[in-house]
Amino acid sequence: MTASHAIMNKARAFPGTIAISGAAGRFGNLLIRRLHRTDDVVSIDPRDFNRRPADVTHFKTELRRRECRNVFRTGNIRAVIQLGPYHSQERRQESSRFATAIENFSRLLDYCDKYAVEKLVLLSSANVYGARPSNPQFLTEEAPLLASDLSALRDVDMMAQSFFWKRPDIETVILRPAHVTGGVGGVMARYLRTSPVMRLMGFDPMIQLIHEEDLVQAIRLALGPGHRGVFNLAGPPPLPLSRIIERLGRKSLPVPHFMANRLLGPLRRLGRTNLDPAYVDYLRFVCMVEDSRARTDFGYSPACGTEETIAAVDIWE
Amino acid sequence: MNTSERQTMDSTDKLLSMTESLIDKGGSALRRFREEVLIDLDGRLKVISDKIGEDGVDPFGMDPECLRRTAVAASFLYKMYFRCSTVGIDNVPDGPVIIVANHAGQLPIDGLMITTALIMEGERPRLARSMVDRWVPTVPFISTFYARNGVTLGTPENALLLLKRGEALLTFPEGLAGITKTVDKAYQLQKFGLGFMRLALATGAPIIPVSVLGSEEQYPTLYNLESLGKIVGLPAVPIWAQMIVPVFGLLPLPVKYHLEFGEPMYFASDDDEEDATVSLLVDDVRVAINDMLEDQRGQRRSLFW
Repeated sequence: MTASHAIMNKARAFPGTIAISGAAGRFGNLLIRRLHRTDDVVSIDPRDFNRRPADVTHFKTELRRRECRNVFRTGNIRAVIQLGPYHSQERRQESSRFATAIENFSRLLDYCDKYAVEKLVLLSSANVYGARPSNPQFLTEEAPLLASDLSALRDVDMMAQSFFWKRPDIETVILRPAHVTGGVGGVMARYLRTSPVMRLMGFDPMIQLIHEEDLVQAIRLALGPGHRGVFNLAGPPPLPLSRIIERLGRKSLPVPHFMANRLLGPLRRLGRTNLDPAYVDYLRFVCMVEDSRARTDFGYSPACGTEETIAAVDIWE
Repeated sequence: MNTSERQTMDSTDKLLSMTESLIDKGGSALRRFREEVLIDLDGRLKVISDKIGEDGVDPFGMDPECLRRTAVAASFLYKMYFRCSTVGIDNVPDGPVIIVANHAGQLPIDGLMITTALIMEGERPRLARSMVDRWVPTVPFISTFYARNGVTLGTPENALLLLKRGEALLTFPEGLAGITKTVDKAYQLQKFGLGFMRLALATGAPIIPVSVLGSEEQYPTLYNLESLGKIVGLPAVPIWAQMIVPVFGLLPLPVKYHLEFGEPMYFASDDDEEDATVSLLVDDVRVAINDMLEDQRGQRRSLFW
């Protein structure tokens, strides 16, 4: 836990039981540790979750399974936090992974619809806007979702948006944070951990990062009563990618952009990078967000400064 | 020694002494440039860099360190190469403002000269944020160089944000059609885009019309190989006159630049008016620039001084 988060939140974030879907992942684990002291939390995840706090019940199931419906039928769950679209560790084909993710989330929306859930928080990502040459420097929540290859993430985000209109009485919140740093497995954080860091020659876009603890705080705030809608989240002021790499004390490995996709395979095999090919454009064009709505609506304000947020890339157990 | 030999000696002597005095003049001009311009420039850039936070870049990626290096080179071009004469710089008010100029000359040196004038000449130095086309971010190195020097992609969102921050925008509403003109179309203003006027109407920011004389002649372009451009992915492939000279032919001709900053123009109307109404207002700005340009052309004695 970082210095800026030494002051723990003592108040409850939400009056009823909160189900966290995807809690066995790295970020889920962190979120549950920050919430379980003040709130009633249960965990739903197809993965094992052995390192959970003792007072947290874990349901090892996929959302689309019958067992999960029972959790909602009898568990008195009043809020759901869905952490991203994928939770299974099974190695499946991309198409079936996609189908599973969509099916799971639509089932979750079904449970929210039927079993008196009052609040649904989806942790999406600012990456759903897509990194494109025509992007304005800061995208607002109204910008179209143009990411083409992030598979289920964008679709899940859009499903949550339509659910917003289907059940206006349920407070649906979609959070779209910038690249998350910390012990979590965010795409950018994982990418920045390799050394040297692969970059695109002649391109140096501005990058927004957000510390995982700031994201936890944002989720806590979004759980409060009355907040609904889509919210972008960003951390400290943005920096050029090259500066971030410099501040981490790493070297860059510049490759020509037109060869990047071809070089990614060999570089990945050599362990030189772990960048997903879908994210190459994020090293080329800006994809940054305007987060004033979150700041004014539920009082979000990042506690971690530039140094702390960048250094968090290296928190890795 | 016969007469013809003596004549040759004389003319060689003359040539030598002329070269010497030229080098002398050039040397002292360079010294003066270093002593007067660069020291002044540092103070002026400090005014701009003081507004940047501790992270060393602004949210648009402008880096005062890079800006300084560019400004040194640009001030050399401004003072020595193009010997810019600038009038009316005091017409540029503080706070949000939209600077609108005519565009010509294949390379955006006109933008560089206007930006340099605003840094070097005004009472309070300002960094004009040039708005560029959306193909610019796709070009390696150029995109980064532009961003570090305060050039920004010209989307309405960016422009609004910059004006909200009280910055000065620099736009060339003729766009590519203006800058890629061939000599036969010199000083014929092309069609103006409407975006800058909608911005002015939405924000109430004043428009400063600027006329640039000289840019048309820096690369006198005879032909534009548009079809080759399409193949290599460039917006234009110009063939200009000095290209017949090897290597040096790549340089622009050292024409004299004349910049004139006109008086602020204020517009009040609904920013969501239909295009026909907005283009009437745009025509006011276009006429203002054209009038200044014609005046300057009438007064110009030579291309080079």
